[in-house]
Amino acid sequence: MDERQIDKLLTRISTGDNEAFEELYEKTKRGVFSFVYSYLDNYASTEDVMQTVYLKIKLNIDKYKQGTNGRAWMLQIAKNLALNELKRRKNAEYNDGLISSEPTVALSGEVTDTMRRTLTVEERQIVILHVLWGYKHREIAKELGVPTGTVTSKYKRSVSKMQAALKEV
Amino acid sequence: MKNWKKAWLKELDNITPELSDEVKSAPISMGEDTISFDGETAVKSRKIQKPLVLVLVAVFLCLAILGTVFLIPKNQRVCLFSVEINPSVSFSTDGNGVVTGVRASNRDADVLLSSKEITENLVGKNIGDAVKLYVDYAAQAGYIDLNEIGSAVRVSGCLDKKAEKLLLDVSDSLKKYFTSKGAYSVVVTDKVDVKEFCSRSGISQASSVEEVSRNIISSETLVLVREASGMSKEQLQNQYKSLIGDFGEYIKNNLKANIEIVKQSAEDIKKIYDLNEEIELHENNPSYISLKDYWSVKLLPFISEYEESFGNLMARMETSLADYHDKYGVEISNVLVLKSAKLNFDKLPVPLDELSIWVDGLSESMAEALSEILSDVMEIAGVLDERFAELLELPTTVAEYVEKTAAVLQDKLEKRISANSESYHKLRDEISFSDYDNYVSELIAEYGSLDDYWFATKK
Repeated sequence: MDERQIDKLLTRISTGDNEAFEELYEKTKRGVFSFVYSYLDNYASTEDVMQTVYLKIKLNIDKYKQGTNGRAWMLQIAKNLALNELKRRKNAEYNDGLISSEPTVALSGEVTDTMRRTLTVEERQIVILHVLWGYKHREIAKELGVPTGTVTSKYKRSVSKMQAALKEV
Repeated sequence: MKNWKKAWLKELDNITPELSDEVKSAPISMGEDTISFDGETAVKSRKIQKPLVLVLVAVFLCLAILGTVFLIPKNQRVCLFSVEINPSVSFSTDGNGVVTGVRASNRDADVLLSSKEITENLVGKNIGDAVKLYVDYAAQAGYIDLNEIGSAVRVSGCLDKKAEKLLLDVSDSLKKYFTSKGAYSVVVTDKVDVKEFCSRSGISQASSVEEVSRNIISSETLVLVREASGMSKEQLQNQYKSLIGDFGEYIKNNLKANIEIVKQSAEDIKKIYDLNEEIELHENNPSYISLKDYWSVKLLPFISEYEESFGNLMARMETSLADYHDKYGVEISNVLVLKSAKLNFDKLPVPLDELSIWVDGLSESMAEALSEILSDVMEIAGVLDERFAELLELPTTVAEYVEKTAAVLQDKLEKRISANSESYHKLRDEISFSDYDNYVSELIAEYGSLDDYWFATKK
């Protein structure tokens, strides 16, 4: 997913171009879905949050500055909404006196489930940012505040873990 | 590696939801005060403001009709610049000369502008600085030889009288650049109308500067991407292959560059494999069930100490794995990874000593067919350039073509910069302005004008 393409689409959306919005959705839905799912581990919640992400993009597009980092802007929106959902869940558990957390509903997707089972949240997000969002390792390292080598080795390790787990299936 | 990615992308296409009707029909905020997640509220606020918007539009039109160009702030005017070296690009700027967009005019420019870093550095800069930066990138990539006397850059401006100074600024900026680099390269400047600008920039004819500017800002930056629209899958794949050049050679060159490391990795993998077999077959292996490999034994609970000879084997294995990780940056984390690595090396159709020679003889289709094994082998040897593995997959959609094209072009740019590094960094004495001006005067005396010189160099 090219950052410039996202910036171009967001710029077009800011002029009221709904077609550009739908194109943005098609280009970024996998990345947004996976990113949100890495926080929530629940399909229904992820679906709701995902819709809100795109709604928020539409309603706040005037705040987006052309030529800046569109990918990061979208991911920040997604992250904030996912964290809000996690907070909401926690408060709901507290208010309802529940002890256990909301049960996670596994998705019918071999690779997605394997990722959920075998990788940590950080490892999943590194893989998602690299594969689905096109972030280079050094860009991910900058976001996470860690050395590039750490991201590279975590990514390689994550891929090995997944490959091994997928071969066992 | 490619297979899990493909499977994952396909899965995601099946499980990601469609956009809900509520989101589809929600209005796009154009800067109204009332913003809410409640689509209904947003719609209502737009309806209330509609009459006001119409009044404002009418007022604006009146102002425009009265020809109040002097009331329009300078930064809402638009200027256009075309920079031709080969490669050629077009810039759009505001009235102050700040770059608002850049677009490749030919395929060579695609190589330079494929770099996100380059395009980001150009937009937002003053046009003089942006053109200087662009020419420097072109010089780094070998498109302009700073050591060659007589190379030329043509800068055409499509701008109103008030903005003519910008063209002079560009010319001065490039003169300073060339003289500081010790390069006798000529800057030819030219003021043109919209029609001529479009012709030089490869832009379809437009009626106004503003229209061309919008085209530069909103259209795809790269020529190859613009051309891809409407292509069939087969056309995209053929275009992609021709972009890589000799596709088979590309695969072979990547492997050959790393053959020694691959060979060493194969030997080390075999040693680790053999060690693991010794562990599995050792009579003092404490595992009672079938999981007797090194990693499974390590996980066994309640084992405080191994029998001496078995313990030595385990220690040797631990050292070998750590050494492999240090040497290649690859962790062999379980027996499946180890067996898969060994299998991949075994699957190679010739001994590794002969691989380099054998790869040379491969046809393109054979090289492609073996690419999956090659990338697995190179991954475990820690020399897999991820881009290489991804580049081997042919695109099936325009979106994939666009992504992969950008990756190939960036690869080409890096190779060009690397190959040209010595020439670009060669020491040259700075040229004084007077020497440079004398040189330009001599050219004019010989050719009649710099325009004539430009055309003479392009023949």
